[in-house]
Amino acid sequence: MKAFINLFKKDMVIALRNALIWVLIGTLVLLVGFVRFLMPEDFQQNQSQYIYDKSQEQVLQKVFTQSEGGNFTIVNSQKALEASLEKNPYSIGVVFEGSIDQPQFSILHQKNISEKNQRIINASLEKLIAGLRGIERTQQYQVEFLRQQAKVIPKNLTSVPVLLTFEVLIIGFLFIAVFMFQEKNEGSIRAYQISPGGVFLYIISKVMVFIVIGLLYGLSFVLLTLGTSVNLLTLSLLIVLGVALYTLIGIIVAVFFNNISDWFFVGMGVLTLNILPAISYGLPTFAPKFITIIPSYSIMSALREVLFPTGKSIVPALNMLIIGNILAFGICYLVVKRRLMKEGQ
Amino acid sequence: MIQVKNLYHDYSGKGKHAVNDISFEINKGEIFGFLGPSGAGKSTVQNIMTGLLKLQKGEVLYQGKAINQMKNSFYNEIGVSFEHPNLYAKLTGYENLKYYAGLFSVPTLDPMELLERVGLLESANKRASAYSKGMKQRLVFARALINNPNILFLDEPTSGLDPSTANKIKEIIKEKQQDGCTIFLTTHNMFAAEELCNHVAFLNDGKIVASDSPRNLKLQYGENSVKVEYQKDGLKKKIFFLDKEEDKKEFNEIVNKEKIQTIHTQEATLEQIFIKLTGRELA
Repeated sequence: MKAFINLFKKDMVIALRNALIWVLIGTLVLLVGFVRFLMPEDFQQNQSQYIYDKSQEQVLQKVFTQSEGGNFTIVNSQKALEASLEKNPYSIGVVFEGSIDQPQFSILHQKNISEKNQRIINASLEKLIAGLRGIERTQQYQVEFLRQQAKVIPKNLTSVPVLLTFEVLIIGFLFIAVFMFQEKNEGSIRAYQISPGGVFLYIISKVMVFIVIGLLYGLSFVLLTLGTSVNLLTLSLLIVLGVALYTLIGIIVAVFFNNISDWFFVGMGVLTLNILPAISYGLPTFAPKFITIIPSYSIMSALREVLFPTGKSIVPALNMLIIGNILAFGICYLVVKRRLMKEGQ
Repeated sequence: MIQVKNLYHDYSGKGKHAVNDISFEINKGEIFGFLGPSGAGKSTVQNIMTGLLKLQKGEVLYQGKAINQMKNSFYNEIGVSFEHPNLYAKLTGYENLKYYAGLFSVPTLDPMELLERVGLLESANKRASAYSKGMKQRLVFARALINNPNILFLDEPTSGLDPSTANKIKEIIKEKQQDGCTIFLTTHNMFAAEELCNHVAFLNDGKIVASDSPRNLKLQYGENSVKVEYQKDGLKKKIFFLDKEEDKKEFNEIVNKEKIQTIHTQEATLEQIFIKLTGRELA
């Protein structure tokens, strides 16, 4: 235990004196600023719909003057309609001609409209006319939710689990490589090799250092973006397991290289592969098997559940991470013992 | 105490041996000098003996126990000073020793006292990255002593040091020997070897070419020699063993034909014996 504490203190001091700590603090400030102040809460484009009533009876004009027009804003002339569309390229213009019984609509738009959106516009106009005719449509479908509906999450905050997962990846995988190349370069690893420290302590100490840094970083990030309404205990557990797993994977890869240039292509390849689950996070319907088995997928999904609970269980993700850590530790132990602690192989 | 038997090592795996059938024994409390030029295989042998390099063929025994069966606790007993300083650059001199000491499960020496012994007390709180090469060398030497080892492996411990500091280091080595420490000294500095070692082995191209006490080697191979300095396209130096017919003839030719500046008779040094045995210089 004395040897472990000593080694951990040494690794921690070196980590804190390293430029990487300033990189991390800088990244933390940037990301918090980005999430809190730069990212909008809603990404929806302003798809306003303008309507110009060109009919003789001007029923729509009269109705909208008396009450709110729902999704539509009424304009008084074709010129005003075109000016409004010019101002907002994503908006839709509707020209109404004919009568309530025989309506004719012309749709004006600058950008392409998808078939889905065309149908939505059709439905809105039909509903509008039906309302004016006094026809009330009964809903012909029912919506049932399997779970309690989660609160709508502001778009800027939905990025927190992704950014937190990347932080786990970067701290664990990338920085441990930098750390190890520094030891190889200065030769200090040779001094450790002929000490009684051994492989187990070497790995555990490094993993612990990055767990502490990961926890400090991760908790600060969440507290500064989402506040204290989060289950910090479960969040900490996920960060610990995630950072430990990626630190172990980072050691396994870094053992085979002597410097960051040699490591670059393989290291960046592994890093990129582990960033792929972000696609599935953005497009939940796209989650092929090969993405779901990447550990960062489980971390990302579990983090989302912990930060924005919907009632889903995170136990499978935790189990996957625990098994992953055990496997990675075994492989890490073997490669460190055979490659790092012995020379000339 | 230490036995090395029929040791081989091949880095390339293609049968080109950096160490080729080396055997020797080191008695307890002895300073054993392993001498040879760069690339002779000295550090390879030391690295195999310390377990840094995997044993490929042969045996390394410590009190009868094989190195490849040693547990980590073996490292409590040994100290290793490397030729190329390998320190934690971001830690101070004191921290380098303190954290290293913490890895041992045997009583360790006070880092500050050790730093004082090697003349680094004033720089104890400076980061190792700010140390000069000589200071780093001394810190690595101090680190090798931190666990008060029974066996010391010293790879070029005085290389790059000024004569006064080198003497300080040699004094400490002698003291360790008096305390009963067994020392394996790897060097190409024959003068340091002659001064410190009870036994030396000459290594050339991965093979031991001679092994005995410095005195016996001189008796066996030493011949009275003459060192001549003469002018021929600049200053030239040459050592002649006058017992050898070839050398005598060449010496006469130079004395008769060249412009002689100095002539000194001298007792053969270990370096001269090495040159005689291998045809190579040490540096």
